[in-house]
Amino acid sequence: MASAGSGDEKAAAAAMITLISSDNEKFEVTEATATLSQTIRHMIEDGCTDGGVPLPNVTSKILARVIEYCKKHATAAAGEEGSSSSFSDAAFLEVDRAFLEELEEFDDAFLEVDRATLFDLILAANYLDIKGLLNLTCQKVADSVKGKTPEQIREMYNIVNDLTPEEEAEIRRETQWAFE
Amino acid sequence: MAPPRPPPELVDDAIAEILLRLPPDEPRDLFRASVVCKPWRRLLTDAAFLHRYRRFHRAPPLLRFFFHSGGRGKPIVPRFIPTTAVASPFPRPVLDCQPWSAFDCRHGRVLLFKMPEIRNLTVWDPITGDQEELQHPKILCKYFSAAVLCADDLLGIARVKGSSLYLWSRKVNAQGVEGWVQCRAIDLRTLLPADDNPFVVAFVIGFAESTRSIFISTDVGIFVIELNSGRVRKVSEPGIYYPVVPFMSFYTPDCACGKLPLPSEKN
Repeated sequence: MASAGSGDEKAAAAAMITLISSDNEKFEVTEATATLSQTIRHMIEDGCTDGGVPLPNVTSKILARVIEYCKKHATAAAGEEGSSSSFSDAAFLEVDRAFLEELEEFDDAFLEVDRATLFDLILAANYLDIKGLLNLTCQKVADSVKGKTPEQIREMYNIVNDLTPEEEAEIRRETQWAFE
Repeated sequence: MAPPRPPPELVDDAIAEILLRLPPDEPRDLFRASVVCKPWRRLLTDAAFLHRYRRFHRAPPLLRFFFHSGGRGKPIVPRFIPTTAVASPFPRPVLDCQPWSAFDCRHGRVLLFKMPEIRNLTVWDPITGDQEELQHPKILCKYFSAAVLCADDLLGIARVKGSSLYLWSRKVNAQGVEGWVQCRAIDLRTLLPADDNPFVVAFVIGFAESTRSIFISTDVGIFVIELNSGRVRKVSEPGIYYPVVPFMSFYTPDCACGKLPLPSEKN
């Protein structure tokens, strides 16, 4: 891990927050990382984070992955603010593009998880209100149902069909073209 | 080996976030998703959610296009041809009652004229089936063109020369002088499917600006090229080279659950 600078200007960025998972594991993260979550940002603004932030809906396994995502994307946000005058516009754009590509590769690798973990991440991103993570994970599920039948979708994501057989038959009859 | 852990049940907010991102370009997928379970169906037929869905995706997808097939000794027949993998049906009273032709199509509405009295215009919504006969506009002469509404912010020209598609754009240079700049050249021989090569002639017969799709008519068929993705689809057999009118709209499951007339399809 890279150590944070000791100068005064680094003090704010290095303020630490403790997140506590449902199985009581503690994670120390910087405020910059934690505030990618709008939920935690509001708690910090309200001064409710002393003694740690309990997250009873998120297991340590999932919280570790969420923090991994936030760290990477918080670095991206800081990089955009930090780099400036020392680069010419062209060089700056070049750095920017390389960094965006790296971020895209990170996101692709991040999504290489089983379906249960993917749903856990969606629930955590929704609860913690992390827009980028929610978009990334939900888009993956939305893309995966393309061309699938309702039965295949239920099977893939363990979804219980609570439509009555009559209701389902009625809908299928009305829109038969979609099921042929 | 233990079976993989099943995914947990999602809360409604999370389901909405997933369904919001279902791509609109194959309506079949939206209709199939709408019978997965009750929470999915509730959202996909809910007016407020579908309003949000349309806002999220902004540009409606290309679903069909109007085209005149025939020629070469065969009668010329107007057709409404799907560009999607599975055609979503449309109510057709307007098309079935008499010969017609399409002038233009925007915001999911089509401006048709019914022959032989071409000065009778009809605005038709192919998804809801709503139609409105327009009073005979006094401005019309024997030959005219018409549009539903014109609000283009893109001025471009596409043409085929030899085996390449050239795209030109109207640009302003540093001196403030406007001019045409060739911004892209696409080799059609590498782009079209191998089975459909070689073609002898090709024409640009239409452009859907919101989805950046170009319609090319060749002697081996009609193709739609999506400029952003490079995806190419053959959408019709060869026809005469009249311009096409692309139809873009959101086709969502609320079209078929009693709120709107049940679509019927005749081919």
